[in-house]
Amino acid sequence: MFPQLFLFELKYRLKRPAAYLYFGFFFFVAFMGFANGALPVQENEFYNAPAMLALYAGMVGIFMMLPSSAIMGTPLYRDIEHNTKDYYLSYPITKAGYFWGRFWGSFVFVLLIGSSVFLGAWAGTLGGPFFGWSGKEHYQSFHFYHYLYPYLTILLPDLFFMSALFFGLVAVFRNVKVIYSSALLLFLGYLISNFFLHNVNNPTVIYLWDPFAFTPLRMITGPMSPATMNGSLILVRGLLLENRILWTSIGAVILLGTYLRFSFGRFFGGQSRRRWGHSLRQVKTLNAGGSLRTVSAGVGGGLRQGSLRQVKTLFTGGYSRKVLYTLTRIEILNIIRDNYFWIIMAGGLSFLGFLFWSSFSPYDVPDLPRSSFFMAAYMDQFGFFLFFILMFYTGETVHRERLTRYAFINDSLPPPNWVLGTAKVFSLLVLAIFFAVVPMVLGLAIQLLKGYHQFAFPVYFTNLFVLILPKLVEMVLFCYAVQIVAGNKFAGYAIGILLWVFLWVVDDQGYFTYLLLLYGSAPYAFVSDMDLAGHMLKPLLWFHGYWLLAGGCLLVLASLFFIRGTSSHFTERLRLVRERYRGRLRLGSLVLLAGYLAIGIYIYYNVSVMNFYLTNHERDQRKVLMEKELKHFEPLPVPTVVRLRLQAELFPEKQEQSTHAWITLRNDERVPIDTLLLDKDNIEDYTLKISGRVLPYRSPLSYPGGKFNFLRPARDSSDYRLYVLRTPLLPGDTTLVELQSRIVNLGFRNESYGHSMLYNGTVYEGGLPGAGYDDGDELRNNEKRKGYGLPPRIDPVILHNDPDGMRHLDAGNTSSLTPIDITVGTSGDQWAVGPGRLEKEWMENGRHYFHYVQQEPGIYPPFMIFSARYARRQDTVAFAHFPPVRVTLFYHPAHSANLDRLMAANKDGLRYMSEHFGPYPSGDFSFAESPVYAPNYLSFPGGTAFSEHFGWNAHFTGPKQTDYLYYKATEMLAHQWWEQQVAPNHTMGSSVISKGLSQYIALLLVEKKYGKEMLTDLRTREQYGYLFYHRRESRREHPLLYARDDNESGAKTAIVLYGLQDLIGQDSLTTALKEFHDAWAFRRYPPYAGSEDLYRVLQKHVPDSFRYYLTDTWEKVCFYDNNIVEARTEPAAAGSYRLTVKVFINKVYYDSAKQEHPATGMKDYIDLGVYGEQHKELYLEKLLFSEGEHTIELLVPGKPVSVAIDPERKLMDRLPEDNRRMLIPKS
Amino acid sequence: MQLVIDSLSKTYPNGVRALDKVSLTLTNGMFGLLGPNGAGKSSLMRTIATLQEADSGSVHLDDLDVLKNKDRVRQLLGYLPQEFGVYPRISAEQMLDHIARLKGVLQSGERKDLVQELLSKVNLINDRKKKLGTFSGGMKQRFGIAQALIGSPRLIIVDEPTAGLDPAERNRFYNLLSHLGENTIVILSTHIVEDVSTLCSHFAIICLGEVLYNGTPDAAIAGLEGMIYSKSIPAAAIGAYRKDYRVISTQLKSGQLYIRVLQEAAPGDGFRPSTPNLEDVYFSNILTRVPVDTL
Repeated sequence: MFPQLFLFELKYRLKRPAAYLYFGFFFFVAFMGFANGALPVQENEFYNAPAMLALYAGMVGIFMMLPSSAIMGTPLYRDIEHNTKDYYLSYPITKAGYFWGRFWGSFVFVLLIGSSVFLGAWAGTLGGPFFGWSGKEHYQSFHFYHYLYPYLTILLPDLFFMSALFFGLVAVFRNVKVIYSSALLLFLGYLISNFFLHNVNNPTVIYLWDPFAFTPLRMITGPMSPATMNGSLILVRGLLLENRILWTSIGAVILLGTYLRFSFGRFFGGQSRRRWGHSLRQVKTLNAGGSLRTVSAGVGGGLRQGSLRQVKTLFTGGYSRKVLYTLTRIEILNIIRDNYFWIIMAGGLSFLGFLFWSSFSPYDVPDLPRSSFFMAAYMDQFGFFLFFILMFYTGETVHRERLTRYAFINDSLPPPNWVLGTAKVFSLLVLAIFFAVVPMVLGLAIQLLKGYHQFAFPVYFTNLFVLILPKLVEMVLFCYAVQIVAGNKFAGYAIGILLWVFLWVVDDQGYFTYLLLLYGSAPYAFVSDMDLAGHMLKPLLWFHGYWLLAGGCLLVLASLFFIRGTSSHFTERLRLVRERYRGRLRLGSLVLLAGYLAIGIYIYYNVSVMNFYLTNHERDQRKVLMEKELKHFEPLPVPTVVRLRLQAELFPEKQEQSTHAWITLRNDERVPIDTLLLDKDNIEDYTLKISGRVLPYRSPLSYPGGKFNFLRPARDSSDYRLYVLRTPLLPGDTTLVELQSRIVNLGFRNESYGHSMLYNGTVYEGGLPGAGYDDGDELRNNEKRKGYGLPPRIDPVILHNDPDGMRHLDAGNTSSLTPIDITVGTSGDQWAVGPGRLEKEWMENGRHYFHYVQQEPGIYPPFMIFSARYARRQDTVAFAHFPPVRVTLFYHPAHSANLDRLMAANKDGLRYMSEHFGPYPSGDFSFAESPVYAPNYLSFPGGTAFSEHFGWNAHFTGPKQTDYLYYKATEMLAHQWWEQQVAPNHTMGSSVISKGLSQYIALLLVEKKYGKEMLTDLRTREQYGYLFYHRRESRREHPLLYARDDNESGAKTAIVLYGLQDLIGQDSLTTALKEFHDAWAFRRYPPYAGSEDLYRVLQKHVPDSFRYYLTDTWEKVCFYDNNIVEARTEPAAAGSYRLTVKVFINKVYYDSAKQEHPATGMKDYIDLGVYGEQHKELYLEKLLFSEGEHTIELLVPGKPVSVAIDPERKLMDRLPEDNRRMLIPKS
Repeated sequence: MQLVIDSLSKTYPNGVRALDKVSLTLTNGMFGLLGPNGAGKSSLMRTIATLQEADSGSVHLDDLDVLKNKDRVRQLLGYLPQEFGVYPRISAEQMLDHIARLKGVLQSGERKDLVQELLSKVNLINDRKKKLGTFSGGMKQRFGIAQALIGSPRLIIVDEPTAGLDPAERNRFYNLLSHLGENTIVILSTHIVEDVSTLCSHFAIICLGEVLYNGTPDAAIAGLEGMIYSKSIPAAAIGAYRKDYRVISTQLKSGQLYIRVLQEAAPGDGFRPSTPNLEDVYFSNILTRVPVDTL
């Protein structure tokens, strides 16, 4: 019996187009992906790296839900749908034969479709070089195993699980809707796992919740270097293996359970058995009613005789409106009376509730439950989920009458087509509105439950009406049109989902980003507490207006293709389209189209005429052109700014900034300066005057216009201008330049823009052009460079003794200690927070003016001014020997939860650093809230800015929570010394001075305030971050002396310095740093300080016995690999315990090729700690170790629970997890 | 009222010619449509019920062009399809109320009374709160009847309406229809020839999309007067009889085969004259197009 049914299934499938289409589609996508390298590969990673193939398999697994559900869901359902039950109930078919025949006959096709992925990938690796799309060097030689292994371990379990699930669900529930709801829940599982990957580091959830194993694979490959990605298969072991076993078992259990429970009677009979009993009762009543042909009225018969009452029918006046209402109502009832709807809702809502409840939690400290977080997280995490639900219910709603066969009645009822169609659209729009309101209702509920009462309704409503609802409505209109035109639910799903994913991929991956041509897309915007949607409101409204009108046109299309009556073939539908397209519909569609085009033209005018849009390719071409044409200007000497007087007018409400500046330039070079190459950056226009005369310039470079900007001039001049000075500036000479510039945003752009020019939250950076050729604008990708005939770009090596590097500051080539005098005006209700001391603040003509001065000793530019409607809190730090410093917090009035904490951090820091390194040079220190688009935290001369996102709304509930506000605030404050006083030069590793020392001091201050435990927590986090970098970084790491990456110059330096003070004593290190500070602070002339200068001072203060530590960290790249091999304990006298610990000590060096070399002859001091109940410290000593295994015997005063080598994570350990061991009592 | 169907034709994409220049004129009263499966009855009814496009020809209800002015036709129409489904999660009462609204019964008190009356007429009053998805075949059919009668339709089309009804229900339904037929056009399709003879003032026989006969049952029977003969023969002999006579129907009973033949003159040979009935009309017409083997 099995073979017949199996073969029947095969033959059936072979005759149907679906399997071929799916096979072809997945083959094609894989082929194109691997042939073009349209994959998330890193530089130097092969497209067909085994890890890439595994990742691809995981990703495709999600999309395989489409074919799996289509192929596995139908074989059983077909029999129900086509009412073949009578045959099966009467034929001698065995249950096993039927069940397994149908299952395997279909599953074979799912497996074949799955194999298309790897066939396509393999064909792509051949096709790429063959068609010349990608070079041979991107591929490694073919290993069959690289393809087979991920197929067997990743995709096959996925396919089996999904197939078993979908097949089983249909067998039990006897309908297909259950498939889509379960598919949505599977997708939700992936979303949860994905959310945890990005937000909460809980490996169990990340690994196990994703049925497709895509998230675990991303977790595994995340820190992999290209060499590892290329070199080895992703072995299925550990938690990944558990994931595979878990989901495969679930599949197997479902399948077996269904099989055991399966019976023909139940499956085909199902509800009808119940019906049968029911109708028997009916028949009895009927029989009592009377005999054939002698029925009289009212004798309890099935149909009562007699004519019907005449009723009045009305088809004019309010008919359409009333009927539209009743139809919409019944459509909604149809949706919400469905259990699956509530299952999906329950799944989605519980995840959403969890997401909202746990909130955004940097350093595991949750933020207050803010509306802005809720609403942004909703679209972020649920965008696709919502689309799938809407797609699903659109399919159901559009085809409900046909699928239930109620269409035969419904379609002969009086309402005109437009009423029937509109009712469907309305019901779906109601669904969309419901989904738009959900996050707000849930958010409010959670806010109330958490006792948080800043409901921020403007944030809710702006999100709701500007971002969420329009998007959902666009989705509905899209889904509706697709379903109607496709004419078939399954085809509609496939076409709709693939199109939507395609639209998303091309934009997200940057293949094509011109939003005007991507249905439903609008520039990114974040609705913030400070500024709501701000200036982005306008482009958002225009774009969504544009797409809603496009959606309207789609509705017209749908109404033309609207199916009524028996479904007819396509040519007949086309004939109907022609018939229907006339009269009011035609007029309406033309009006819609005209509106759509008009808005399109307006957007085009903004995006491509007032501004311009470049494709990625064009952008690259411009970079290449710039490099080819202007690179020869790179050696051009650049003058230094030595004094700055500036009057700035900020108009936040107009997104405009104008500057009038008097700049004193000095030639610090050894040659005369006669030519200046200036870079406009984001300045709209500027003029330069010397001695009252405007300086002429020429444009050394222009670019061909972008193809999307055909109304603009054929060529765009570049940002560069070339000025020739009338009298060359001789070495050591100075000159005064007068500059007038204007920064303004004209219209809006294709992308999110003006991030530093919000209505409430402006960042002003001086309005000065940049000087010299900017190699930061060069094309970086070496692959592409090769294609354009450019030499490979290597990160510039600026040696410590490089004369040019020593003469310039890291902060910029024109930067030096600059006395400033700044007058800045802003809107009357805003405050402008600037550098230096606030001399005066006044109102004039309804505008608010500020005068900031820092003459002695001046600042090291660049500086920043923040303007917003700030609330202020002030306090003063008094010193015994220096003048007091006024500390002002500038914050959004609603963000006042952590002011005390921030104030304390800044006061403590000012006190500590003034006392240890020298006074703070100005009377004012400002701590400001920067716009939501700004970096989380940054330091500027005279202040610190934390973005609206970061910290202001942290919700501290207990003393044990990591006070990251204190940590980051003190770190940023420390930059006032280690950047603003000792300014690092422009050589390699110099940023250890600014980043490393600041972070080290922040660690000290945290320890001082909160103790060792919080410090250890922070160090563990920093180490974890560094280890991630260490594993991921394919290029060599650098010793601190040559640190380049922020991970090296920041976190690693801080940890290393902390370890150093642990060895030599904090006071010694502080003395050393003070010495370094005093030698280099407030330099007016080169040379400036570099890492070697710091290192020399440190060397001086480190005794010989600890020199190894200094060399290991500053001159070499070194990791420990210590662990506790074994530990046993037994009670000794008087409550004390004897302890035997076996430790393994190991240290390795990495050379520049990232090869390992084990250390020999070690004599290193390493902590050994023993801990009792509740982590009570019983023993903690520095012991001197050589490499290898050591056995240590100890006597501790109390029952030990765990023992650890380097318990406080002072050393860089490759695998810190094995440093601690729980104790086993000696038997 | 008058429904005039003129040269209506329809060919399906798979090549099946469902309607072939069908022309009929119907007036108030019951009109029966007879024909074998696949004759085109349902296609014809669906076309009149605005559910299907015709390739050519026209249908007029008085002055109303049925094929063009579908919305207006739907306002006058009561249609019970041969096969139909329901929204499974809506109750019978709610659904009838809903359909009544769509049929223009907008006055809510009136509508409520109507729905109750219909529910009791089709004896679903006790099941009115039940979800339609739980209905048995017969209950569903009765629901279908109720919905077709909503809104005083002037044109009622019922496609094999008695399928799934027991004999008593069937009779009650026909009685109900006869009451309506007096000032309404009722088109009824059925396999049961007897139903047409007892109910319909006019009828037509359709086969392979063509109208083979159109008239009153009485006239049709009268036309065969004196031409029907019957005989009881051994079952094995049927082959020979088929060769010699126009056998229009056969009936096997206790090993004996009763055959009826159509002959202009008395055939003798043991045949006895028989009173013609509508079934004879039906078979004699159908036989001109397709072989009918009732054995």
